Amino acid sequence: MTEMATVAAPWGRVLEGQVAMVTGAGQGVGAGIAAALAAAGAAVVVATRRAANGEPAAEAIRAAGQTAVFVRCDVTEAVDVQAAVNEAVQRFGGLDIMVHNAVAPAGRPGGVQYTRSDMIRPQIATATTASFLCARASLVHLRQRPGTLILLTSPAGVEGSANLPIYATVKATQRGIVKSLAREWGPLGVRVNAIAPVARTPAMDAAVAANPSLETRLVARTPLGRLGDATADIGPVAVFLASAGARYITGQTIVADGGGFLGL
Amino acid sequence: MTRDVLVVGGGDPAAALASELSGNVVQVAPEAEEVDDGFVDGLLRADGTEVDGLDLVVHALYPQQSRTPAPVEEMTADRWAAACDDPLEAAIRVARGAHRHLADRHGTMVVCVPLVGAAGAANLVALAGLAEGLRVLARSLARSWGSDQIRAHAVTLHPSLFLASEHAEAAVEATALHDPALVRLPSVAEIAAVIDALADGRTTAGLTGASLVMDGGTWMAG
Repeated sequence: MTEMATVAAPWGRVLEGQVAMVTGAGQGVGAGIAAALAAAGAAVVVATRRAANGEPAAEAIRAAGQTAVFVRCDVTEAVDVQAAVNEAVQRFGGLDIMVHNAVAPAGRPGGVQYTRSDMIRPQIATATTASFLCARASLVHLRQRPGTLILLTSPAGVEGSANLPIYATVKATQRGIVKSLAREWGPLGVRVNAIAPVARTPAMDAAVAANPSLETRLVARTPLGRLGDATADIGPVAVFLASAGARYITGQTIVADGGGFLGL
Repeated sequence: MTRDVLVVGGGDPAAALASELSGNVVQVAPEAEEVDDGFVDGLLRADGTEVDGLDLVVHALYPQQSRTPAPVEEMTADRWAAACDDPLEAAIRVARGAHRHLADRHGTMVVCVPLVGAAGAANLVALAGLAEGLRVLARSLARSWGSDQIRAHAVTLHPSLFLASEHAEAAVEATALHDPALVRLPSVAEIAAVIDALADGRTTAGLTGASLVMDGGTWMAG
């Protein structure tokens, strides 16, 4: 097992024999979570819109000795989401863990009145529509295990954002979805939680490029003094939430940001 | 000076609040998918319009699809869009259209949201998602509009103001451990008085981004 895999699975192979699907797993937080789930023993479906990053992400997991397959999936399309879930079930025999991480570009930083009109609905679709589609398609399988649904939200989805107001809004929407799905699916034994990460990712790099003071301000308010690592810092949170260790946790948002946001 | 107020939304709580808010109040109840970036401008430019500027926008646009319980696995994509995505986008479009007018008057935007967003509610997943999105939209507007001297707030209300009584009772029973501390829920007039105060620059000019829960002390969200 590689050093990174050891870091990503600090409790060992607690997900051995389980099957996970991770959307937006071609890079950033999604890739980190996919790698961590695989290192913990899960067979992982890397579901991304583009093979150009999805296939390499799956290959990297396989190269580390774990199990992964790439499936093309536009999470805003019901047919794609259903097909990806079907592929997971056919390949690996079921679905225990559904992670919806994919996110649409937020555009240039600025107030809501400055957001490009054509960049609003894609952000809504990738966050809320896709959360619905992933939930609906996976429930029939998750309730058989019973499994778990994890949505990736953001500290901005709690405290709001001056520069990314649409992003913050749709991320908050996902928190509402998590709380209500937890109530709806709890009697079925299916747990639903969210992770609100801050990590160094290509998206974060782009945000810093557009707003150079962002990283300095983020680190300055972070007690742990650094941005998170997608695989080593965020991935294990998903592993924990998917594991039996979290069997009594549902409806929660776990903020994994080094302590930067302490408003809950 | 009389305050010019726009209330966006049909049914309650929008209609009830429109009748109780102070000022020159205009209530509109568009279909969510009809609201575009020019929606607010269109209201102000229309012949016979009752307002020529905006001091306060109260947003409470909740389509019937949002208010009708349904398990997620039984919802179609179209119904999800009508219950969550369309009204969420409509709120964003209203905010975009209102910005310039609120900036002219150093005005206030208030979004009214049901408690099910913060507390969660089975079979009301779309409504809860919409509510939490709107609550944080208000915070984001407060952060980005503060330099324009526009203030923004969210007021969280009891589910009974949004849902049929049997659905509201079920949502409350499943989420609230306590009865209202005040032994009653606030009246619409009391809620309107708080919104009036939030829009009053003499008393609340230093307040923005607030998330007030007016449920009589039932839930006491952190």
